[in-house]
Amino acid sequence: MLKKWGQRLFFSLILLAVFIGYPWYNVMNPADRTVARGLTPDGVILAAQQHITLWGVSLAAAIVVGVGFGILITRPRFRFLAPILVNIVNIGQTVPSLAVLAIFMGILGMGFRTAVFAIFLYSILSILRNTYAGIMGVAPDILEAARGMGMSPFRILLRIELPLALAVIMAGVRTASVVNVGAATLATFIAGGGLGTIIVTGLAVMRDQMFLTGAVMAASLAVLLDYLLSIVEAEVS
Amino acid sequence: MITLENVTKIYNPGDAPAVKDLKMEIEEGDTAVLVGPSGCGKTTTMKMINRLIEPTEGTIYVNGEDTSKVNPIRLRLNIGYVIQEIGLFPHMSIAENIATVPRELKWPKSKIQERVEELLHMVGLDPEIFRERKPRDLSGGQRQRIGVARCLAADPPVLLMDEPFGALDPITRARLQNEFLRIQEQIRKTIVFVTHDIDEAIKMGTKIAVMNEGELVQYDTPEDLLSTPKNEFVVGMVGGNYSIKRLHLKRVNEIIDREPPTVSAEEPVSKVKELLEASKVGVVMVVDGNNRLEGVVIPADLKKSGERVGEIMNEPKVTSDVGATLNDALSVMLTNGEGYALITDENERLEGYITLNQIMEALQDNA
Repeated sequence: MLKKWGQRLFFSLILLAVFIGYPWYNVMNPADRTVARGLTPDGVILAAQQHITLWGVSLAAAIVVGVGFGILITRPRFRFLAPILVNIVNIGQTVPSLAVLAIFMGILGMGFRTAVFAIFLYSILSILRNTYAGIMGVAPDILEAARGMGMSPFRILLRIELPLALAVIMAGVRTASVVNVGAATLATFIAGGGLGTIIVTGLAVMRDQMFLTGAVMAASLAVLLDYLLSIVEAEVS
Repeated sequence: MITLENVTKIYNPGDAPAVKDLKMEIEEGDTAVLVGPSGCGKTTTMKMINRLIEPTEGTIYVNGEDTSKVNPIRLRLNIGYVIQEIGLFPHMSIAENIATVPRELKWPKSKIQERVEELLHMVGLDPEIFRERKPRDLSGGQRQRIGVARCLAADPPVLLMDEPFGALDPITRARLQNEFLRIQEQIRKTIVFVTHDIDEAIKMGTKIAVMNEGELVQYDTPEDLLSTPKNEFVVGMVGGNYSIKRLHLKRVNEIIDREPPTVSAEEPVSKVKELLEASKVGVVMVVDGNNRLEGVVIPADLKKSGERVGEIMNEPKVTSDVGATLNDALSVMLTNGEGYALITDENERLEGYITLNQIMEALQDNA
């Protein structure tokens, strides 16, 4: 038990060290004035903050909506919606993420909010699909036993279906989380901020120290968040 | 206690009815076994009682109340329900599984905990060991015991059991059946029991309802069903020689010989020799000071070298219990190729023995 948590803490701290240490070193040791101007402490911290906010807000919204609709389309009364809804979201998912951002920029204008909304829409799929699959995967005889003993549909959802589907739902959340961190690097194209800004600027001025800083931060953030979610997943299932 | 009045179930309009105009009355304390081939409507009938399936026509009364007028959730909370093998919630501990209905009824925690302990004792599982385990850590027989404990949790007057012992090996099944009969003797519930196994029906039922193609063919006590089967279908189910089926009705304690030849392991071999010569079945039982069965000695063992009985005795293999039917005891004998069965209580103490001859005599008494 203690060993398990020690190990988890150890790996989390290593990933966190990369996420903080690598940009720190580059900010402190810029190769030339262009890098020094583009890679300020405030700028890097702001980009990281924006990125984490893009990820967190869009993922939280996707969990609420994805799990909510996922539950809804497993209810007998709304089950007819399942193929329709899953197909719509499936088609949405096949559109490249940059295109999704561009489309919503056309509708909602530029900026952070549009980026959050587009990424949120983009990440619903895996959560919705896994919630649906997880609940539908509960063995029918278990449900019948619950029903036969006098549990109400709501109580069955709460005490039987959701707990048994939780592992599958969490797997969907993890997928969505990885998708989100990646999609958030594109937010910069519609003035949504995030670590993509450092990468794109670095590429524009052709300074590898700069775009590598953004890239390594985005990569280590994705791995770190996924690792943290894997701990949550292991603890709930 | 339970009355079915002209109950019909048609699943899809135009289909043949799954249950046709069924009339049946189950008295309080009865175990009514619904038996018949698959598709005969027995499970549908049972599930209409707790409204897992709604009847197309007719009325069902439980305890005088028209079930169609009762909230189905409330109705089901008052009817225990066991289904085959699983149906245990895999993500919950044994204690939580058993506590399902009491928790739905919002019992206080301490009362639930007390009840869980009591029920685990009742089904013969140590609460200290099993309370926190998950269903996957249990054997099939133990899981089934938990299923029984769970349906009894809120002490409902009526139990519905759908092939509760179906997925078990024959020896475990016989043991659980005996245990359940013992429990039922104390709790006296009104039980509707579904099975496709006529032998199980004869053993467990106080009344047997033979069903075929949605219709009730015969509803009688096991004795009457065996002696006066109503038609060819029932004869086909119970078999021509009903005296053989009666082995399921008679219990070991009706014919047991309670004065078995016994020795202690400390005694000299010469003592066992005398007893063996006097013995009808050619076996002498070795017991300790508490009458606990330690072994058996058969004539062939006398050729072994040794001075004390303990040195030449064998493992006792052919054992059964007093609650077992003659059929159970006979199959133990056949499995081991012996003409006797040793009868022990739950603490392995020797109660006596029965022989193949006694079973044959019992058969002739009934013929």
